[in-house]
Amino acid sequence: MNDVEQDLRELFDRKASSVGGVAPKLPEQVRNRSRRRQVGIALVGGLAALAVLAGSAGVLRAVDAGRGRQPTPADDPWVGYEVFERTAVVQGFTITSPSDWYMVDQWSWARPIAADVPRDVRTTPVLMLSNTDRGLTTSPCFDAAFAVGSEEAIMTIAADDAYVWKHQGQADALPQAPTRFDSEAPEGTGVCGTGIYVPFATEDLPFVAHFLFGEDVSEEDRTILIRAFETMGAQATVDPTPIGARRDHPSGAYVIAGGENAAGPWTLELRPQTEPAYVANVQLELSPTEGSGVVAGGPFTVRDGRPIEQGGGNPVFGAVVKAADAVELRLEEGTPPISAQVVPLPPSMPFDFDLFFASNDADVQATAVALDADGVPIAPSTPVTEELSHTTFLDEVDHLPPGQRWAPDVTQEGNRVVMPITFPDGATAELVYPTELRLEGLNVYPDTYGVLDENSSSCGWPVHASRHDPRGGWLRGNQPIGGLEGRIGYVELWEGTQSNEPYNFLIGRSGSWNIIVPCRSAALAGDTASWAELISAAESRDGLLVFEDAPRLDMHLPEEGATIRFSGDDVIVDVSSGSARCDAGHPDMGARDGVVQWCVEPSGGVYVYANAFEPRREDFLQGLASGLEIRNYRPGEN
Amino acid sequence: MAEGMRVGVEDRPAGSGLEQPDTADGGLDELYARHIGAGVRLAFLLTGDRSHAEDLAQEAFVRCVGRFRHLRKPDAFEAYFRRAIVNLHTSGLRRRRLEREWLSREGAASVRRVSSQPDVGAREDLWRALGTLPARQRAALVLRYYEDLSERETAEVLGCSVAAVKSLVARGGEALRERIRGEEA
Repeated sequence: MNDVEQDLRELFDRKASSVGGVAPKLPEQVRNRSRRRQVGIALVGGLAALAVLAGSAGVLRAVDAGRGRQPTPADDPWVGYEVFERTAVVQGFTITSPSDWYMVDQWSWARPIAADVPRDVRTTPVLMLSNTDRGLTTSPCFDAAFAVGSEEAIMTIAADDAYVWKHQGQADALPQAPTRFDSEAPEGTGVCGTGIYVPFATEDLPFVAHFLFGEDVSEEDRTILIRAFETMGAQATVDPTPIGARRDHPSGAYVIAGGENAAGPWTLELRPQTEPAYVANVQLELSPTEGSGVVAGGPFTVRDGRPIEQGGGNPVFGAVVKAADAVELRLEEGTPPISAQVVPLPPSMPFDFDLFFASNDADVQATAVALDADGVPIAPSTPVTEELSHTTFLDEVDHLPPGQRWAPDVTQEGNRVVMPITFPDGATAELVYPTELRLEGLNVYPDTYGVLDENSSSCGWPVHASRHDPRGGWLRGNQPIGGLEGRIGYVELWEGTQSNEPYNFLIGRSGSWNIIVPCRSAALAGDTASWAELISAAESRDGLLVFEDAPRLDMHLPEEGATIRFSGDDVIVDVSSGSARCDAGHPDMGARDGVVQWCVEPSGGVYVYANAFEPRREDFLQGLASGLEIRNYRPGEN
Repeated sequence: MAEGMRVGVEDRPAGSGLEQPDTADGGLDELYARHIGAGVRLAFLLTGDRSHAEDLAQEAFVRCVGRFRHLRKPDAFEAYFRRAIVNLHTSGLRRRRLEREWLSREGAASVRRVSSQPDVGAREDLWRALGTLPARQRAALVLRYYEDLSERETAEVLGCSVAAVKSLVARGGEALRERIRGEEA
């Protein structure tokens, strides 16, 4: 790279110099926006903190149960259950251990905490493996009072920021994982307190394994822990940057099981939360569930044996009453049933059910049945795949035929056209434009952005609505992979087409519109469920759509504005209301580069952005820039 | 080598002594004066367009100032500012890509042109070739060879792993070589 590197260095220097002087005086509009931004952020921070405290109290009461106390033999929930060898991948680390050991994925819980630890003494726990249940909110790397019980064996794998700080990030000198545990190594004191430290590197990132052994720990447990470390596969997928308060997982997650299906490795984790329960194979989130027999785990059901988040048909999992002695998956007639593994909840989670999971390699429809000790079904069972026959509501509603366009009704005033519009934030206005622009001949759509809990943009970025059938272009297959009754009615979760990866889509219906909410396929399950529950919109008199805010869900972001999109074969025009863009920057009225954008109605923050994909549309852009007016703007109530 | 954002000395008002600037009005002025020049230069190398670069840097400034009081290390403003500029730049490009995909989903005719980055002023081969790189490759090259950031620091700005930075730089460099070779042929 040396040749290009040198050329680039010189080029960058020359080009940067060519920029010349930059006025150091703070422009007034930048000052005003900065002030508003400061006030806004301050309010958001306070509200977010309150929400975390209120929402997590019950959870923390449960998951903190194991903290700071000495576990006793009576705590062992595995008495009477089959212990199996569990191999699971946590943030890129593949660890094998007996299933009655407690493995906690601590990464998303630890990263925000680590941001408050000075970098030169900071490690960020990735996972903790122990022979007792220490709950989900403690780590020797964060808790100075962390003490090891006399019979305990505990290993923490942590990203070693302190090493980066001291050695300028050079992890080359460290042994690459997997590496050996030196049984003669003495205890030392370090960033995770006293213990035995084994530094290692993977993917150029430094990590440390920290071991604590109680004075009476059995040789067997000691061996199990060391073996788990020495056989550990390491291909770290962590981003070592702490993330401040961006995420609010109040706890880590128990790693219940792992395996592999056609899509690759899967890990079943148990993460308590107070939000609606939701099942997915990478994150089984449970709230106390009433009833008997097999429960699917929440308002989302897993259909077709397919996990919602990763695709494929494997594994099938759920929750089952403690009275069940076994769970089996019953397939079509004539096919032998598949025995599921039943897993007790850890002692820190005092809920009255167990978990189960089973491989379903054939990826076929299966019914999970709870059995008593005699192999007899103990209660009416709920098929895991009960929704298989569900017909999507998209089959039952009228869509705008392909190729047909829709726009609000217009009137003519001399040589100008007037189009009344309602923005997605409820603001109304009239667009007035020269007849030859023919905006009414374009397709018109509402389009906006939403954010959950002030900071999560894993879904709704942006939210579209379309009168056309979204299957094919947006959605894969003919059947959703989940569904949930929300404010707007039944909201379906669909896999996105290949070109939409990594997005799945929530699809709801309001008036004549199909509402399309993209969710990253790796979005937190709770986020996806919350979006499905909370999204709401109503059709306006002009046939457009107004999105409604809800507690936790902000559908109108001043930075982006609420947009009406006009689209043709080769042009997109976005007219946004309440856009902060009106406060910033210079208008770009030159159409040569295919884009014009300007603030057309400053008091309402109405901003126009148009992108023409064909050179011949330059005239259209010029006509738009010189001829479009906004009349009778009225802000929305949202 | 020109001063990158890591220094920004020439933008600092004489004798300001700003190490822990506050964001009261006076502090805001000083903060802006101290960082905007370096920010515009970085944005220019990312976008190739002077006025767009100024807009980008100002927008990034507004966004960072909003979070400034929450920074645990206020003198880390520079790092946040740099990251905001890069993110705003890549999200702008993402918008164009999403629009093209959106048209295709909604069944519009195929799209043959997405307008490029705002006018690329210079016409040197390398500069032109640079303008054709994916945004993150270009950003990785600028951060490594103009800002002189380490691979780890570059990874922090781009929000990816060190390995990914290595890959971005290597692929960016290789693409530049190929494109220059192609033009010479």
